[in-house]
Amino acid sequence: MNLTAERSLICIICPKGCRITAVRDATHPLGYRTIGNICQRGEEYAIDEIIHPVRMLTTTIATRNLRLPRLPVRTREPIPKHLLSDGLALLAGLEIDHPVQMGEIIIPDLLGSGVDVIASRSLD
Amino acid sequence: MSEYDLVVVGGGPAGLAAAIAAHHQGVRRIVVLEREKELGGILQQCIHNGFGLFVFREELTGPEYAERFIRELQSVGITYRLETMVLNITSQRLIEAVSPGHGYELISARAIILAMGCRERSRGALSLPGTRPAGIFTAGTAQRLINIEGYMVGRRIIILGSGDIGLIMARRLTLEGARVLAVAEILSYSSGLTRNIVQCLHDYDIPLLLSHTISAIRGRQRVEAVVISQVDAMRRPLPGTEIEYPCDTVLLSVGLIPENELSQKAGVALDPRTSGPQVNESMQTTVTGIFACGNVVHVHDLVDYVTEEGQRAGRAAARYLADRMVSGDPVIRTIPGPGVRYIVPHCISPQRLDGALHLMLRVDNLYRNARLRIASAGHILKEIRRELLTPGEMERLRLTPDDLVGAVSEQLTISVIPYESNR
Repeated sequence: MNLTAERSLICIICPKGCRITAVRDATHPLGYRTIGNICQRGEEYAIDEIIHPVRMLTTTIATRNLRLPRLPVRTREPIPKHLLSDGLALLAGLEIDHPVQMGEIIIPDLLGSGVDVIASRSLD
Repeated sequence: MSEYDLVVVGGGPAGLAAAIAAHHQGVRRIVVLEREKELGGILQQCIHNGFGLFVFREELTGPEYAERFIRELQSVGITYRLETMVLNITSQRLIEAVSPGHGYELISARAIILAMGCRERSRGALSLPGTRPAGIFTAGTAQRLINIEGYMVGRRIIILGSGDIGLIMARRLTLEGARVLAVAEILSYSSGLTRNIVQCLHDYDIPLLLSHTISAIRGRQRVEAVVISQVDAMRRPLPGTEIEYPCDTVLLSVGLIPENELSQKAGVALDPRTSGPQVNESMQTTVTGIFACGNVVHVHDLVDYVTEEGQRAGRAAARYLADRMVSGDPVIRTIPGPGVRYIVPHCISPQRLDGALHLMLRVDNLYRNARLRIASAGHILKEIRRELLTPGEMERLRLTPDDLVGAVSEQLTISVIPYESNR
């Protein structure tokens, strides 16, 4: 894990957008202390974002013989950020040729993340 | 000629919510007219997540949010017609429509809900200098081409305007393998949500150039380059600041305009500030029996609030149809004071309120630690402190019937009290 000494980021928890600086601090239980955040949620966001950044992956998959040429899909939950690009590459090679229901699993356990890729809509 | 109690024009989130709410209140002869091949409106192309946090307490994608309402509409048995384009609405509530299935037809309605949404401001409305090559798209058109039709729009991209659709598309194009060179914003701040600036631009190291605009587009057949200049306080390009970006595509994300040609034909009065119909607390327009909701009234940031507005219009149309709409007197007009660009609704009849009402407004600038003051004839009814007010985020002020008891005149003025004058 890359334990950066100091990192600044903008909090996205609420519209205030606090500019937070997280400084490596071994005495702090979470390993970092934060400056610039107005509330506790900012500290949690900043430390999570450094230690374990996650994102929801949303994209489309090619279809064959369905009503629309693309099927929108997403991960059921956010996945580690570093898996996004491999995940996208994997999905780019797929083609769906059978009707699907919203929420149907398209790929179980994407790249060993434990998170399924599901259909964002029904398509026949 | 077919006859309905309620015709809803537009099957996007506002129309779906309105039709379902009216049905829940007992209205049965309802039809939703949708010009696209499917219901759901613009949500169908918004494949990113973030929809439904308030309505469902989940982060859904656009298609998922739409499908939940489409399923409900279908399960309660509300009629809808696809590929049906409304051409005209009269103040007598006669609707002219065309469709492949029915050809030209006349539909008469006892009540109408306008839910046509909005459209994007295009290059013509901006008078962008330069040649007219292929490769210039509005951000929403590019979104539709990529997410629904399956066409990639370009490889090297400049985005003008930092509205949310532009930011979302910057990320989407990057994920699809394009290179977004920069997002240029003529204002000194972005109107997009912070969340989108961080997760769509910062995540992919896409520069956001504030106080910059496109000063030339070059190319004959296809866009070959774009020149971006810094602007002065009057938003004029500053000579000497030009930077040329070789690229093949330009996306415009420069604002949305409520789509009100039909409203005007029906004789509905518009508010020049919102470009949408003037509405009252019941979302009724200035024409009796014609209601409006969603982005056709004013452009929202969150679909959740569109849904809520649609439900209010649907319930009010049901009351109107059941002859349960109480008299509107007295009427209190809402007046935007200093710092406030617009307020919806435009007037309130306190005795018609079914519970609390949310006044929706936008401010004209960035304000920190300011207060929003609701006053009537100099008498302050309510003050709400806000750490941050920005034109990019719609403000909602909750107003209860009790709050209006002190309204001593027929006007309610809402103004921004900036920090400096707080003392």
